[in-house]
Amino acid sequence: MNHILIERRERTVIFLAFLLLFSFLLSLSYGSSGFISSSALYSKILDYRLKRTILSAVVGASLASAGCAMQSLFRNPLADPYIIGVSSGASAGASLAIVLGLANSSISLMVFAFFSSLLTVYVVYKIGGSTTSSLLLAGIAVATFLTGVTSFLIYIAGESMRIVIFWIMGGFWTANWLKVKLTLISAAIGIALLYIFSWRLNALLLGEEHAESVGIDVGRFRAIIIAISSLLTASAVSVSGVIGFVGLIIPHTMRMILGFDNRILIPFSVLFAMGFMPLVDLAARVVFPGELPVGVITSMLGAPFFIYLLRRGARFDG
Amino acid sequence: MTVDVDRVSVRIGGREILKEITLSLGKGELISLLGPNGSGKSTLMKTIYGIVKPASGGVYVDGENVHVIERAEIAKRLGYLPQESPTANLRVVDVVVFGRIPYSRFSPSREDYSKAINALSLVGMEDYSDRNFAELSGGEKQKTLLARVFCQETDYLLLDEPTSHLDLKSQVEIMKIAKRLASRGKGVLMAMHDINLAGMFSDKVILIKDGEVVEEGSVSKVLKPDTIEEVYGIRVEVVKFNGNFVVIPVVE
Repeated sequence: MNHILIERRERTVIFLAFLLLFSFLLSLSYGSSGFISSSALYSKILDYRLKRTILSAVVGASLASAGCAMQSLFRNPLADPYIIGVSSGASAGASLAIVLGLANSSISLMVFAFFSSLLTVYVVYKIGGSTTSSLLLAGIAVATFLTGVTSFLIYIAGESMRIVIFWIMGGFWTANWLKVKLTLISAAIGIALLYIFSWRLNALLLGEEHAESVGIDVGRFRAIIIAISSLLTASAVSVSGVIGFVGLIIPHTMRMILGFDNRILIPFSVLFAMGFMPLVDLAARVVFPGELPVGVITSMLGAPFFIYLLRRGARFDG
Repeated sequence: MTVDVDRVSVRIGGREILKEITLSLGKGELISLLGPNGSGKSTLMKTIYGIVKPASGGVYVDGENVHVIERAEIAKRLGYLPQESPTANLRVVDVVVFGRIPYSRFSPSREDYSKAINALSLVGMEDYSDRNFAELSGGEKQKTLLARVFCQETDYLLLDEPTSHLDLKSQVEIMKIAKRLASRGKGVLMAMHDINLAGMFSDKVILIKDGEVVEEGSVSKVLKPDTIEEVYGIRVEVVKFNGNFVVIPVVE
């Protein structure tokens, strides 16, 4: 085994562990109400920050692991967790629910978003599931259609759609323990399954014919991976809206440091995302009076970082 | 114990790609499948491996129909090397160890890795195990992939144009490895473009054109000027040189 690679893994895991610790401590101890010493509000504020911190970490982990899987499955560096329509399905479902007056709490909005995103993936899969490239195209077509539907609904509904607009931009301000529990369960199951399949995902990096030639039934395997990734992504989107770029930038950064082996990449991306997202959420809470949507920050920080990686000649392709 | 292709016809998009192909591959045998581009060599390979379903006829590995057994079970019996030449930023040994996927559930064991190293030494690549597969030359990649197929421990190998796009030395190395595998008791079926290379190493050659077998048998029987002109549509001379039949195109 390559010593440089092992050393790099060890250094990375130590760094990520510290990042996680630092991120959790800072995210719990600081926020829009500043540092808190002892006060009557202490436990209440701590409780709120704890929910947000855990929720953001779990959502980050879900998106990052689904991103790893999608990039390997599609053998495409641009594949992100939303590529087969999860986010557009969630947005359209949430908007429709609000227009129809069915979603009056953040919980019912979550339920609508969750099921409409899964329904969207199902439709995309039915249309284009025969090959990877047709799946990609079907995903883009359906997402474009649903984005149009969402814009239309926002246009006709006016003021009542503020909640959807904010929701689409992504954020954790509606964090509650129910959301934490639900995402924790789906993330634990989904990430564990992706990890179990990570070796076979590696074989897919060689292309579908080579994957078939080592005994993988690619059609069935693709359906399984899409189901797991969609579960992870749909539960993330339904609790926190559309947080862009995390599913791209976290896996790609880890790939640059540690290589393309999904058995390493998936757990490291999960760890990195769990340290990274609470910090981004903290920034969303404090840098601006009021609150910024997290999706705005991930996009505005993520894209330049991505460009930096590109300029440095990073390899993103399988 | 054989791979039997029994009157296999394949239709893709209404077009008949293979017509009533019958052939048999025994253990310890190296057979080359020759024919022009589009003659159906790759389709035949895929049909034997079970990826392409025949419209009629069947493929049997030691008596079992490949089109009804699970992909992982086929991969334990048939080692298929696709024509498409892949790349991936993975360690060479990690590419070879994919050959253990049919036998393992989730992750390769220590034993799987030692089998992979073993397979790499069979192709003379044991010093490359930690190298990045994506940075290898074409010949080194192909040898790595052959090691991967060997690591699958199948009785039969289906190699789809394993020498294409390689330099002369690598072509000969690949053929020697295939020959060595056959002499160790594997049945090897290779789709080939290079008639002379096929003639030099094969026990038997099969000429196909438009999805039909035109001629099959020993090298001396099949590599005749008239037969080759019929299949490839070009006049050739066949000369014997150092005990091998050499096909030379006649250029007017």
